[in-house]
Amino acid sequence: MQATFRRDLGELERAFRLADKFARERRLGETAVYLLNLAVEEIFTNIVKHGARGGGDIAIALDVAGGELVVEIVEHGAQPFDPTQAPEADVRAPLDERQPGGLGLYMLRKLMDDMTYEYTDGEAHIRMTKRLED
Amino acid sequence: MFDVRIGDDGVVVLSGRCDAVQADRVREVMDGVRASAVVDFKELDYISSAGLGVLLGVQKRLSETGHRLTLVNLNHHIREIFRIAGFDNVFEIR
Repeated sequence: MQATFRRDLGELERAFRLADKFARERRLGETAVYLLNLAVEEIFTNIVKHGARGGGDIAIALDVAGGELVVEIVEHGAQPFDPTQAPEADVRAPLDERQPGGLGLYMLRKLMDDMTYEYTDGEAHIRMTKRLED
Repeated sequence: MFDVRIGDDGVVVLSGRCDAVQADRVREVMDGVRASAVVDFKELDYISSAGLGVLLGVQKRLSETGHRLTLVNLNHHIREIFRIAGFDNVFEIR
């Protein structure tokens, strides 16, 4: 199941509807549904807020393959930014030193089983997988 | 559907889904919190890093005057999110 979205935070609701429809059709469990929504939101908002100005659409493709949830997000008109290599948020810092930045990508890297990034000719491909529980 | 409100008892109640679009509503309501307060998550189904960032900012602001937020009734998934984010170190979670 896939769809394409404008690079606009107002499109997030439609992205959630895609995720919800996919989750219902595939009868995903509660944990997988939460992770699916989180993966879609964190990558989508990261692209909208920090991606290339004047960049193109964002394509989201969802699948279950080999017992794994697969979330693929393609940013068209992207500038190179590898989320798998982004500096990790310091989640052990004391309160007065804590910064909210980087938390979304940090959580995805901890919660998903795998996250890969490829950049080719202005297209950034982010692929995340999570093994589904029986 | 998301909602944030402050009850008559001063408890901040979050309900529904708190995503990047709704986080500003949390910020607006929480700007009115000037002393220690309880935030009830009982009706909240989902929160992302946007909502976490707002709560972190409130906790930092309150701590400057010796106050803090206490978070209660987190569901299993949200509790796990908070643990991974290291928020169990900066909030009292009951």
